[in-house]
Amino acid sequence: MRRVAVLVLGAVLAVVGVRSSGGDLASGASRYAAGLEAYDAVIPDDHILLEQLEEAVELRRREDFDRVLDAKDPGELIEHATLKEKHFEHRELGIDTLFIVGDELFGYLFRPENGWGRGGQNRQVIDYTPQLSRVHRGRTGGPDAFGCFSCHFKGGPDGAGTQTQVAFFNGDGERLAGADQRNAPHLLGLGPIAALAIEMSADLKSQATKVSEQAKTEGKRTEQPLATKGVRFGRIIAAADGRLDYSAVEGIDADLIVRPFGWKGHQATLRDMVEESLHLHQGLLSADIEKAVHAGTRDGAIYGTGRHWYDLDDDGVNAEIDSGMLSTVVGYLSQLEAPVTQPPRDPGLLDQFAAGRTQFESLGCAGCHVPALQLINTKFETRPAQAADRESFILDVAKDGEVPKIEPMFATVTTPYLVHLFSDLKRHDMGDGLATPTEQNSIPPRVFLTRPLWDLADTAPYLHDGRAPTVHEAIIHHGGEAQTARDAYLALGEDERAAVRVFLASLGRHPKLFVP
Amino acid sequence: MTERIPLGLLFALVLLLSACDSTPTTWRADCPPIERPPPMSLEAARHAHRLAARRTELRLREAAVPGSFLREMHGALDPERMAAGEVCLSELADRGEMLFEHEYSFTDGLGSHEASKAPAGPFRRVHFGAFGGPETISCPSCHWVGGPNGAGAETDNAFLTGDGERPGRGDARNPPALLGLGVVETLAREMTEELQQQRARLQKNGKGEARLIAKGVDFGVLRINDKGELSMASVRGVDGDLVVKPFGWKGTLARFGDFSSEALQLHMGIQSDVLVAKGSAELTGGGKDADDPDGDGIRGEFRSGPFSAMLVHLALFEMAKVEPLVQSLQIEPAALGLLPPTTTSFAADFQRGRKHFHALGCADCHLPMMVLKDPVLKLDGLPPVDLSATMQQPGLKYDANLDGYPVWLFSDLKRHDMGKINQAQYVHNGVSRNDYLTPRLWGVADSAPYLHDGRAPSFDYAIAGHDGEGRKSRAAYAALGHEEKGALRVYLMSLRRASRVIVP
Repeated sequence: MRRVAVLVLGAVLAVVGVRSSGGDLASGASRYAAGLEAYDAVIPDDHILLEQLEEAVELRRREDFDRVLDAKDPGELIEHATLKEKHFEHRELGIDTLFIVGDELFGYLFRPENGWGRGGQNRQVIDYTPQLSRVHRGRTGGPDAFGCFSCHFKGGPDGAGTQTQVAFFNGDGERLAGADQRNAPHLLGLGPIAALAIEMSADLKSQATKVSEQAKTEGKRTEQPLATKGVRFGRIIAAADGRLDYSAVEGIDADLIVRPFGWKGHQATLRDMVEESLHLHQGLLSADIEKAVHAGTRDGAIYGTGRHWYDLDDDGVNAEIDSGMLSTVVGYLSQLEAPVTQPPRDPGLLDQFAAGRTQFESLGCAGCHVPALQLINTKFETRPAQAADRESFILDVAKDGEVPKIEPMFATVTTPYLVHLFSDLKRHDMGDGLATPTEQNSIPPRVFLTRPLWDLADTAPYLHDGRAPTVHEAIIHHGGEAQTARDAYLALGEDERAAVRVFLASLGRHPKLFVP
Repeated sequence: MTERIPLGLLFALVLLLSACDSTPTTWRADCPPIERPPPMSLEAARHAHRLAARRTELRLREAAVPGSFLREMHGALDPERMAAGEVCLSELADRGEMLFEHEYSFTDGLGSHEASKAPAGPFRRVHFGAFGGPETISCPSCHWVGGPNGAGAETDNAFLTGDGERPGRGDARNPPALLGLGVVETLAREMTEELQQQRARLQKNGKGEARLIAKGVDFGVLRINDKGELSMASVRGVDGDLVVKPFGWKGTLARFGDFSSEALQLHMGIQSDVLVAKGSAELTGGGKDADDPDGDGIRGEFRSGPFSAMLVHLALFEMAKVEPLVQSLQIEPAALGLLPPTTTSFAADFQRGRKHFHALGCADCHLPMMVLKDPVLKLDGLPPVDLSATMQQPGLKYDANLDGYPVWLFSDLKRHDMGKINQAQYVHNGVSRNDYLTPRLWGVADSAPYLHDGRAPSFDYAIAGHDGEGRKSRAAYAALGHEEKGALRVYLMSLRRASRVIVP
């Protein structure tokens, strides 16, 4: 009797269970129940796997050792993670070492004794602890973080920031409102982007020079479209005497320098971007900046009014960031892997991916998010602009460092490389909805650089302030020059919209072993 | 007669059902064991690749049909079958992991009210009162430092009970690493039982006092007067209910399940059934629709099926390495010969540092080890879970000499006055502003920055932040010479999580 009742009860429960999951079976509920062996096809062969494992361990091994060494004798780690200019000068290190050292520096939490933060507090008292400032005070910055990886880890090493890691720039030091929010972007493929910008700038410059010369030779006002790598930057005008008029130039500063870094595209070089970030987020002042302020070639107001020119932020630490450390970080960042498009394995999703790619073009998304730009010269100088007697330290953004790398267009020696970044590296008006509270480096509130979309899949939330939890909202918030494409997306049926989103969600990074 | 039979049957069924409620159910017997490849092995690498591929596919599906993942989880995870033990633990843990990693969207119930239509987006970096943010979309968003289910960076600090506007007006909280949650809850429950037994004995005696001690930790003195009234005046570090609450920086919750339901609400605006049933109106939003108190139009955002599955995943989180150097030396030629224990080169420092840790008084609160007697965790709506057989490695191991399972957690699970420099702005769950639970130092080397507000980038600053009851030890540390400070830090640096290989 009792046993029968148990059986009945079991059957009832089983029916309930089947019923509650049955409704969704068609949409694939059973797939999650399927064992993970369904994914065995993605596993690399053992020898590749072992190689990956060894690489992942190797990267961690040195850091693990240095961390203990640094615990024993503080300062050891930062010393190991900092290369001086002379190391570059005498080529004491290989490019691989540069990468490992840079990686270590990237994960280091800077401390007050390294120059983290600013003065104004007695750091010698027994209960001194650093003070974080989530909202920045003007252009002086936070500090709001101890390390680089504090905001660059989502989706893997050197990844993007999460929603909580959004920075509040240029605020009053207290309130979120009024601060200029910035969502930390991922750092993959920075080498190729830096190299592209250099090429594009040089190209534009030479076009302007030609127009100027032509106007002078012909003795009449000359007007030409400016364009490089298929991206149009408005028109350049030269007066009869060769003087250039930049008023019709679009999406770029009048100096015709492509600035691919920062959400608004305000920095031209990795070095400047790193130097600025270390100042804003960690309160670390580079010796180069202090020298420039001292020499009167740079406005020092935002760096502090310390008693000594070599310690402007008055925290008792001199030369917090030297030129060698900047070169180290630049050398590291420019060696990072390039993101990759990963078409779905599932046939249904693959169809959506293909349809989405077509939509991406036809809606006009690809007008600004240009799928690929061609790079000719992959050699990249990691050291600062320098006098002729100093040696350069050049690496190849298509070969050195992490894989995967950007790949050549064709299998010939002289072929250009394709950088699948999904950006034109040009600034656009994005409308009032996205406008920032203030301008930044004279870039108007509504204007932003086309954000590269490679590795979009790993970097939610989206947009400059991270306001969009998913791609759908990111698209919805597009305005200004992107209004038409946004409206076109909204006019699509749900199936077609889904295809666009699937395509975007397949812009990812190569799966790789990592030891945290 | 004809009426009596069905009545009798019904009666029997009712009896049976009530019997089901009181006797613990068990898991079905045909479940495969939970697979746990050694964390640094090729098999672990393969497993990591599989998980990453599945994550990628889930993301693509979610892009195609927003909300599909959570809907399917609701469909697949039937609370009744789970309660009856008919779904294998391994399956629940697996789905729980997916739910833990999932990025929640508006379709899932992210945010509240009209947030999905707000021009500036749904997020609020500083919490608004008890209602929270939301300030993020997933759990790993703030639990990643040092590996999966790790700590948060200083940039991930939550600003609790704020004005929605000024970080300085909220109480900054650095996300802790989520190690051994199931073990900690079970330990705390055993401590609670010990304390409450002592209270019961005292009440039975009806007079005098009792020194409250649980697992060697002294919680002060409980007194009872002639009228049989208890006096808590000399009870220390625990609430008047004598329930040890090991979760939250201030030790406000006894069960990590309660913490999770609160965290889902505060940080993502995802409302679990548990929260909706038990939470205050301030916490849930208190809207008119009882099934959608945050008024975002999504009802039943996180039902008990998915919630319990996520708790299983959380319950099985691994512990840190055990007395790391000693253990490392015993490890066979370091897992696959790949990761040599780094601390061996610093063995002498480690040994001296270990002595200092005790001599300076650190170990008084950061009690290195407690013994767990019963490794069985009881979660609502599930059969009991034997952690010793199911948790991730390093896990519980029985030690006959101790007659139990040693847990190297480096905490007394007790609250202490940490002085004015750590004073919170608000009283949380009745805990005084200066009081904090002793944070567990297991895996501390992999969870920088330190202190409740993440203001300490290294051990030195973490120690400098010890005030109040920690003041004497801080002074003792400050008085050490350079070499000896280094030794203590080497010891702390050896408190690590086990290395593992993942595909992010």
